[in-house]
Amino acid sequence: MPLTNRGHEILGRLPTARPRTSSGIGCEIVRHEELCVGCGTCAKNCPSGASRRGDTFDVWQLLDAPAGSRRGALGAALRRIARREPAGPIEVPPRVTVYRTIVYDAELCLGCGTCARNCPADAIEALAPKLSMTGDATPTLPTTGGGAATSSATPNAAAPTLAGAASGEVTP
Amino acid sequence: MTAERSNHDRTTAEPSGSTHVTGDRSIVAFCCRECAYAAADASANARTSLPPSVRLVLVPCTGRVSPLHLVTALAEGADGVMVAGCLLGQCHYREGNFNAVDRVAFVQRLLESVGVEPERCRMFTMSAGEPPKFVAAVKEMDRVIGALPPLQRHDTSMSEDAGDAAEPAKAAVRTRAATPAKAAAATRGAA
Amino acid sequence: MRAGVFICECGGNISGVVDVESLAGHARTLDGVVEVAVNQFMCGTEGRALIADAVEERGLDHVVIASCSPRFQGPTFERIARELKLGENAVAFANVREGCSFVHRDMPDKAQEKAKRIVEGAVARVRHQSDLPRQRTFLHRSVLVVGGGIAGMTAAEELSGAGLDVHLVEREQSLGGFMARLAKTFPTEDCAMCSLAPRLTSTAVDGHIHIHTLTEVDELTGPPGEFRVRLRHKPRYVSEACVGCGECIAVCPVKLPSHYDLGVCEQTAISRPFANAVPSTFAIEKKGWSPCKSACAVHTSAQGYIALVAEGRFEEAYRVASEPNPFPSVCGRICTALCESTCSRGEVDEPIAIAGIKRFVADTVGPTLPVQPAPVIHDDVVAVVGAGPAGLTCARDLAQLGYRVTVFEAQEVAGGMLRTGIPDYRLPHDVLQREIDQVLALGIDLRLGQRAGRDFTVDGLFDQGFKAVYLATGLQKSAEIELPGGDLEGVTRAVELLRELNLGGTPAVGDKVVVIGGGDVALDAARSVIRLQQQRGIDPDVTLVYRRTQVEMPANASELEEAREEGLKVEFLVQPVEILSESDDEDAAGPGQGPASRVTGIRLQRCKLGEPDASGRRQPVSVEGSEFELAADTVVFAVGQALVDDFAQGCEGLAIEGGQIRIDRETMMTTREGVFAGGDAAAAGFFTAIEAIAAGRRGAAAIHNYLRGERLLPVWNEVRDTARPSAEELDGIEIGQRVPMTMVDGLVRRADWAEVGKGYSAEEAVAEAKRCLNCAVCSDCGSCARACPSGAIDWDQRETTEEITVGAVILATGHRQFDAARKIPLGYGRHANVIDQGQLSRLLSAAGPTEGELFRPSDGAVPKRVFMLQCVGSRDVTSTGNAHCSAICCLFATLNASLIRQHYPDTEVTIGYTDLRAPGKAHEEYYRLVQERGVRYVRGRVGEILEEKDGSLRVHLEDTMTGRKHEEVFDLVVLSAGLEASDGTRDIARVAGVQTGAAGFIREDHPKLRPVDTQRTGMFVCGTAQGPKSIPDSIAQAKAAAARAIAMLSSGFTMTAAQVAASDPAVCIGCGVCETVCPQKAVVLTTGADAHSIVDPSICRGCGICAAECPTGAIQLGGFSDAEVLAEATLR
Repeated sequence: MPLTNRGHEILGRLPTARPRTSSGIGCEIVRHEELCVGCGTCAKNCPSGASRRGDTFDVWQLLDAPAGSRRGALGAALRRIARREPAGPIEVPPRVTVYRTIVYDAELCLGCGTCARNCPADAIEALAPKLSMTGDATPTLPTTGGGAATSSATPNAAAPTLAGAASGEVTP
Repeated sequence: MTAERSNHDRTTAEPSGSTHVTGDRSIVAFCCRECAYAAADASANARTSLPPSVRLVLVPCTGRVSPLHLVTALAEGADGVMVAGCLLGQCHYREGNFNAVDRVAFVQRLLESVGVEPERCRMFTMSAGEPPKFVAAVKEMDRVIGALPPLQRHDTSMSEDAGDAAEPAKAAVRTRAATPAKAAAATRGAA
Repeated sequence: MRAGVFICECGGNISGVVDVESLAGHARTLDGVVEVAVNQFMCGTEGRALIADAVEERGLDHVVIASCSPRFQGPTFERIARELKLGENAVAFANVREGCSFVHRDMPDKAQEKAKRIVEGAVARVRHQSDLPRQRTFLHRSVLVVGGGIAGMTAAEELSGAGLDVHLVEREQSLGGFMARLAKTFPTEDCAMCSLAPRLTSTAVDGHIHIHTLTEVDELTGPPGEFRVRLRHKPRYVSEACVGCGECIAVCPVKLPSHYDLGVCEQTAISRPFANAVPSTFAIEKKGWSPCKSACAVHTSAQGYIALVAEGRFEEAYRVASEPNPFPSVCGRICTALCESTCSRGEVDEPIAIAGIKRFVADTVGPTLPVQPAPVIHDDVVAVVGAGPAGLTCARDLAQLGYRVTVFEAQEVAGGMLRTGIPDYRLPHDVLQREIDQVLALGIDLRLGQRAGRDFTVDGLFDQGFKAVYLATGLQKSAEIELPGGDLEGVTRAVELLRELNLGGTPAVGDKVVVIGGGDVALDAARSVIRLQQQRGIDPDVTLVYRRTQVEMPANASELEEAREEGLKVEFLVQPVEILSESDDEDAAGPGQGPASRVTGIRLQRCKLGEPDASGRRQPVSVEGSEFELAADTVVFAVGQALVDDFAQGCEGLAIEGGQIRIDRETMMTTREGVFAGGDAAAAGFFTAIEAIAAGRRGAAAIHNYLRGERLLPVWNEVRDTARPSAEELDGIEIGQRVPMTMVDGLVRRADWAEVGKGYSAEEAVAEAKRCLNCAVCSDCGSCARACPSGAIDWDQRETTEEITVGAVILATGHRQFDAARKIPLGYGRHANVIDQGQLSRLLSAAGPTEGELFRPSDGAVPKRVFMLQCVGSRDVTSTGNAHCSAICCLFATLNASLIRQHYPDTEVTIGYTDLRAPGKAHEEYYRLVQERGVRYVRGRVGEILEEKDGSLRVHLEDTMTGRKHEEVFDLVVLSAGLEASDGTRDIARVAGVQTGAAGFIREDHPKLRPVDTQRTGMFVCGTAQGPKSIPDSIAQAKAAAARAIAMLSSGFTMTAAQVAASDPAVCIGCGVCETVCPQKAVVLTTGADAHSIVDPSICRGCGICAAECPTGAIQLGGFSDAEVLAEATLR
C-alpha cells in the first residue's frame, strides 16, 4: 500500500519510524457506534471499502443511543419492553436502510480520515497514527491532538491508550 | 394526560396502560388509506362484528410506518401492533408496502432479540375490495395477542430503586460499560 | 391549543351504540379541549353552524370530529375548517362509527370504552397538527402527446377541442401508426384507412395541434405542469416544396424492404409511406455517408454510381462518378482505392470492385459525351503550373466556375506522373489523353513545353495579368541515393527510367536487374524492365528488394500479385548495403565501357522489423552477419521522389520547407500572396493521384474565394458520419464472390505493353454492382434532385433540437408485433411463404403492394390452402418470455380469414388456435359469422413448419380435441404474432422515467382504479403502449387520458397537495437516504457543505417512505408527522 502524504510527512520527520502492519499508514479510526445514525455516509465515501453497510444490526446501538436522537427514541421504547439483553446482532431486511451496523474492516482501512471528516453525527474520530520509534512494536509516540480530522475532542480524551505520555514528550 | 389513566410507568399484573379496552388486550392497527382502511370501512358498513381490542390509526400508505412507530406503540401500551396495507405489487404509492413488510420483519427481529414475542408485530395485506381479509386479520391478531400475556413495560432508569424490588420483570438491560472515550463522546454527541 | 370536540350521533348509527353524552363528558376532561358539542348530523348544515359558532365564540384553533370514517366525510370537514380560516390540517378525526359503533353493536360497554380511546387519540393527535403550506404552481396549458397512431391522434383531438395546445410527436415520417397498415377492422370489416384518413386530415389541419414527425423525445424533465421537453428533429432532406408527385421514386436506385409494408415489398430510399400520409412530404432515409464515400479523398458518391450501375443506368452513373473527379477512367485503373479497403461487403466476403465498376462506366460512357466549353463569367484569369492530376483538376473546377485558365506544362505532353510515371500496360496513354482532352474542352488553354523558372516566372505571370497562380508541379525527380556505388554506371532511378519509357524512349537495362523499393513506382519500374528485357529477347530476370515485408509495402497488393505472375522475384526484409563493381579489375573493362565503373552486383543485408518510428511504421533493423550478394548489371532505385524547385526562381516570397511548398491548410495559399499550391509538391503526406485530384479541387475553391473576396465555397468538405450495416444485418447476407476481372496470363502479357486488366463487361459490372450493401441507404446519387420538378430535395437539412415546455404528457407510443423469427421451428424469416398477420394485412389492402390480391411471396400464386397459427409469442412464457394474451389476435386472424374467404371462395382457410377469445362487443357474433363463411377452426398446437420444394409448407399439427398429431400441407402460413411494447414505448419509458411491466408495456398507476395514469404525476398513457387492446379500446383510453390531462390543466394553475413531505434543513444531515428511497424521485439533495434534502411538492405523492427512513427525523410527511402518528397510536 503506498504511503499517503501524511505518511510521507511523518516518515520525513522520523526516519527510523516503522508503520503499523495493517494495510495503510494513517490515522487510527475510532468509531462510536452508539452515536451512529446509520446514514451510510462513511460507507459511501470510503475509498478503500473498509467501511460498508452491513447486513446485520447490533441492537445495542439502539439501546445505547443518545436520548433525543431517533435511534435513542426507538432504543428507549425498546428498553421499556425488553426482557433481556440482546443476544447478538440481528439480520436486516433489504429495504431497511438506516438501521444497519456499519462494518468496519481495519485491514482495508487507509486511515485517510474521510469517514471521520464527513460523519454528520460526529460518531467517528480519526486519531494521529501511532508509530514505533524503536524496534519494538509498542506505540509510544505522543500526539498533540486528534490527528487529521477529529472533531472538537480534547486531546487526552482522544488518545485513550497513551498511558504516561505527556504532550510533546518523546519516549525513547 | 387525564386523571383516569393508570400510570403505566409501573409494572402491574393487569393489562398495562390506558390504551386497552377494559379486559381486552390493546392492539393498534396502522392501516393504509387506500386499501386496508377502505376494507375496514367496507366491513364495518356491512356491520361485521369485530373484537374491540383493535384500534385503527390511518396512514396514507404503510410505507409511512417506521420501526419507531411500531416499537413506541408497544412501549406505550399496546400489547400488539399490526400493519395493514395493499396487496404486494398494488400499492397505490408504488412500493410503500414493500418497505413496510421489511420494517415489520425488522421489528420482529428486534423484539425477539430482547426476549419479546415477535408475533406481537405483524403485517397483513389486502385489497380495498376484500373486507373479509381485514376482518380475518383483526381476528387473527386478536387471537394471537389474547393468547399471550399482556406486554410488560419497565421503568427505564438505571438505578436500583425503580419500582418494586420483588418484580421479576425488572429492567435487566443496562448500557455497556462506558470507556472514558465513549463517555466523553457521549457527552459530546448528546448535544 | 384550544380544541373543540364535535360528536356526531349520525342519526342513531353512532348514538344507538355509544352513549354520546357520556362520551362528550369524557372529552371535556381532556387536556386542551375547551368545547364539546353533540349533534345528530355533524356533517349537515346544523352541524356546520355548530362548529362555526364554536370556532368563533370559543376561539378554537383545532377541531376534532367524532363521526364516521375520515374517508367519507373527511373532505367535508376539512373544507369547513378551511372556510373557517383554520388553515390546512386543523381537523383530526375520531372514527367512532366504522371504527366503533358499527362493529361493536353487540358489546356497547366495550364500544363505549373504545370510543373514549378513539377520541383521546384524536385529541392527542390534533395537538401536534399545524398548518401545512400549499404552493400555487403554474400549469402550462399544453400537452405533449408522444406517438401519432390512432390513440395519439384521438387524444390530440380531444385536447385540442378543450382549447389546449398539443405537440404531437411521431418518430416515423408520417402519422398513422399500426392502424394505417391494416386492411379492414373487426368486427365491422370497415376499411381501416377509410376510418383513419379523416382523422389524419383533421389532425393535419387542426390549428392547436403541432405535428412533429421524424422526431424523437430525447429528454423529459421538470415538475408536472412545467415539463421541459427536448425534441430532436431528424432531417427529411425534402423541403415543403414537395408536391408529392412521386417522380423521385421512379428514379431512386436504392431499394430496401418497405417499413410501411412491413417488408412485404420494397421501397426506395426516398419515399412516402402511403398516399394519405401526414405530412405528405416525402422523406429520404439517409444514414450518413457510405464508408466508400468517406474514404475517398474527393468523397465520390461511390454507392451512388454503383446503385445506378446495378440498374443499368450507366450514363447517370458516369455523371455521379465524374462530378468530383475528372479522371474516372484513370482512377478506375490506378487508384489506391481506399474505398475498397473499407467496403462493408468486405466483412461478408470480398469488397465491391468499386474502382473496376468506375472504370467500366467511364470507359463506356466517357468517350460518348461531348463536352461544351464552359461559359466565362469572371474577368480574372488564373494560371496553373503543371498539367498533372492536381493542376488539371484545379483548372477544370475553375473553368466550371467561370474563369479563364491557362495551364503551363514543362513536358511536351500533359498528364504529369499519370503520363510519365505510369506505363501503358497499367494506364494506356490514349485513355489518359482522352480524359485530359475532355478537361481541356472546357476552354482551358494548355501551353506545353513551358518550364517555370526557365521559360517564364511566377512573378512574370502576375505581370502578364494573371490574378492567381496554382503550383502543381509535383515531385519530378528521384530522391537522392546515399549508398556506396550509387554513381556507378548501370545504376538508374525509377522516376527517370519511367519518364524516358513513357515519352517514347527505350531505357537501357541489363540482363540481371535489381529494383530497390516497395511502392507503386518500384513495381511499375520492375514490370517495365521485365517487358524491356522480354522485348530484347532475353528471359526477364528482375528482383525486387524491399526492406520491410509485404504487409508494409505501400504498393497495391494486386500490383505485386500481377508482377509476380509476370515473373518478378521478390526479396523481403532486405536492405542494400553497397553496389559492387569490378572496380579493381582494369582488364575487365570492355569496349565502350568506362574503366571500373560498371555495376556487377549488389551487397544486401537481411533485416528484421524493430520498433515503430515516428510515422508508426516498424523500422528495419539489420541482422548481424547476414550479408549476401546478388549479381546484377543494373540497379534501379525507386526509393522516393523529390521536388524540382526551379519554379521558385522568380517567385518572390515562396517558402519551401522539407522538400514541400509550404501552404496554409485552410486557404491553400503559399507564403506568396495569390500563389496557391497542391498535389505532390504540397501534399501534407498524401502522395496519391486521388489526393492530388482532391487538392486540385480544394485549390480551385480557395482561389475562387480569394478572387471573389468572400468565402463562397467551402475549401474542405464537411464530413458526415459514416454509416455501416449492423453486425446483425451483415450476418444475414449470403456469402458470394467478387466478379473477377479478366486478365491475360502473366507470362503472356509481359511480352507487350497492352493493358493487362481487360475491364468489366456490362453484365459483369452490373452483377458486381448488385453485391453492394447500400450502407448509407440513400446513396447520394442525386437522381431525385435531378428529377424533382419543384426542387424540393434539400441536402443541407441537418438534425435539429427544440426545447418546449408542456403541462402534461400523454404516452401513446403503441406496440410492435412479436418477431416471429424467434420461434425458430415455425420458419418465419426462413420460409418465404410464412408471414405474419400484419404482412397479410398489407397484401389484403386494396391500396397495398398487391392491390388487395393475395399473391403469396415465393411465386405470386394465389394460395389455395391457408393456415393461420394463433398465440405466436403470446401466452408463451417459456420460450418467448411473454405470458400475456395479446387480446386481439384471435379476431385479427378471424378478420383476415373472412376477407380471404370472401375474395377467394376456393381458398380454404384453417385457423389453429389455443383458445378462441372474442371478448369485446359484437366480437363473438363476428366469430360465429366467419365460421359460417367456411373458415375452419382447429384447436391445435403446431410443432414445426417445414418448407417443401415448391414453397408450400408442411405443418405438423396436433389437434388437441382429438389428441392426434398429423401433417398438413398449406400454400401459405400466417402467424398471429402477439403484441409487445414497441421500441418507441421502451424508449419513451426510459426517457420519461415511467415504469414498465411485462413485455415492456407501460405500467398504469393502478390496474383497476387508474388505468390511464402513470406513477409520474402529469404523465398519462393510452392505447397499446399500455397493453394489447383493440382499436375502440385504444380510442376510449385515449379520450380518458385526454380527459385526465384536461382536468389537470383546465384552470391553468393548481395548488400542491398539503400532505406532502418536507425536510427541515436545520435537522437534515444530508445523508441522502430519502433521495434514494423516494419512488417518485421527488427528493433531491443539495450539494456543498450544508447539503440537505429538498422535496418538490408538485411531484411528491405523500407516501411517507422517506419520513420513515430518515435517520434524524428531518423529513416529515405533512399531516402525518411522527408526532401526529405517535400521538394517535399512543394516546399521548
